[in-house]
Amino acid sequence: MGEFLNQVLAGVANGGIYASLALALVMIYQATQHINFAQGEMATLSTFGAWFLFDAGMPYWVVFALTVFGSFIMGALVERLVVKPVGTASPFAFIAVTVGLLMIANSASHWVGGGDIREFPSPFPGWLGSRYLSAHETGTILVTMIVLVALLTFLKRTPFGLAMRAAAQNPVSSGFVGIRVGLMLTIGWGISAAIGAIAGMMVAPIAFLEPNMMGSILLYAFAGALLGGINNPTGAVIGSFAVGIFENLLGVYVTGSELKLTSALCLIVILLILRPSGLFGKAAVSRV
Amino acid sequence: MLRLTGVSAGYGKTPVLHEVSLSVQRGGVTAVLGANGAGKTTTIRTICGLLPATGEIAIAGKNIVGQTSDRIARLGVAHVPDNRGTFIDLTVRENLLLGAHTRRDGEVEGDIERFLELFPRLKSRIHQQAGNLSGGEQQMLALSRALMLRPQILLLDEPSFGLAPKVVAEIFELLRKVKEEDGLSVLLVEQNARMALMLSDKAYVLESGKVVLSGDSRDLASDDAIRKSYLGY
Repeated sequence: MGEFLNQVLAGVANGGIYASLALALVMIYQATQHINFAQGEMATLSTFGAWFLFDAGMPYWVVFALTVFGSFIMGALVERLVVKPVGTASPFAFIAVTVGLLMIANSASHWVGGGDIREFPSPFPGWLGSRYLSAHETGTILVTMIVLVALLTFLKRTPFGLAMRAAAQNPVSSGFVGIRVGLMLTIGWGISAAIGAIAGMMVAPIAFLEPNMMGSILLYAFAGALLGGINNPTGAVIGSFAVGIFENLLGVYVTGSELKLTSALCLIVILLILRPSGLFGKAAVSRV
Repeated sequence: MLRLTGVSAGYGKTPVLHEVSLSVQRGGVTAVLGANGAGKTTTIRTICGLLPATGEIAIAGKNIVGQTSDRIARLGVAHVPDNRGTFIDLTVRENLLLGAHTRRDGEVEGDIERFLELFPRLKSRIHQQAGNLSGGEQQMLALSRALMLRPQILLLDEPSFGLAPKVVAEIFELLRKVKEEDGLSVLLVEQNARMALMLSDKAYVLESGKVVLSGDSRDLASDDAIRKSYLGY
């Protein structure tokens, strides 16, 4: 029983990491009604930026703040320079662009970081740790919860967040009420890149920093976001924890660790068939 | 308040409007009538900045041709589009709040209360997804959302379309009330010429994208020949 509990908690620790990236996916979905496949690789690139700032001798939280801010700018620029000119006329174009961005960001990471695996510092003091979760794992879960609350407050409680959701859902009507739709998209990309950067800095001390760090984590984050509902931040976090526990238990007791990623992919496919809006997601309703 | 002078517009290379000129007085209601395909909706879309146009469209003397629709909205132009423009995934309350997006005053909650009093059916559904509303309720919501902007001028595209006569009467009654209380200027596009002429003080009849007739609404409504040949009632 003790062993089982240990494995569940190890899954919770993994889930905290998936949840942090899942929130970036939820944000971009709320702002654009699309998924950014480059979300993970952009986060890795941000994390490399952070690594170089550490290397220059800056203290942790200064680097953290600079990286989050810098990533916001990067995300906003990517929207303005790459995504916007392509337009959103077809969903296929959007997918093609974000897959292209994935490769570009990955190459950029290789270019700035090489193939080396780097250690990345954790800011959390030892007393946060316990028998079951390390200090960094506990800290990651805490940070994810803070980001979740901040995101929920922004989206549901501020006029700006409401305008952003409106602009994504119905750009034409948003124009009629005076919302600058283009600006909302740019800022949405910026915020999701900033959240991704936080995820990257939480992942790197565990997974070590290297260009492909986020590859499989993005898949688990997808699975978590889909499980909980891509339009529901709380659901996506719960879903990510569920995926973390599920894949860990499955890996330990059933399939062995080689098939962990496969099981996440199976979960995505099954969910898309059975419940595309997720366990907690709202299905769109309309009456004419 | 609103003046179109020699406005031509269309979709891509297909011209729809030809040199249309019309005006709405401050505090007045102007009706644009005509059959399907006459260019009524195109006229409204052109004013909103959705279609490229030539000629001059002036709001309170300021030319807005070539402006984006959000900038035109911020000049005080509210629009109830023909598809009602509901944000179907958002709640009724969120839809109303979005209407006030451009406002920075502290009276938004008071205005929400006001429209909920006027449309009690919206009140009982305030926290529901707007996509759940019936057609009539969505039209009431669309109208309320547009008025939440506290507009200088309201553009209404076929508010009676697809609705039961009782609901249409309710909506026109509200329009009359808001017009009198707020001194609102309205450009009303309608197929229901009888209702439109009752509410408006001035009317234009469009045919194939051209103004073929214009005048005081009362004169048009009382002229049997015009009524029969242009307005169909």
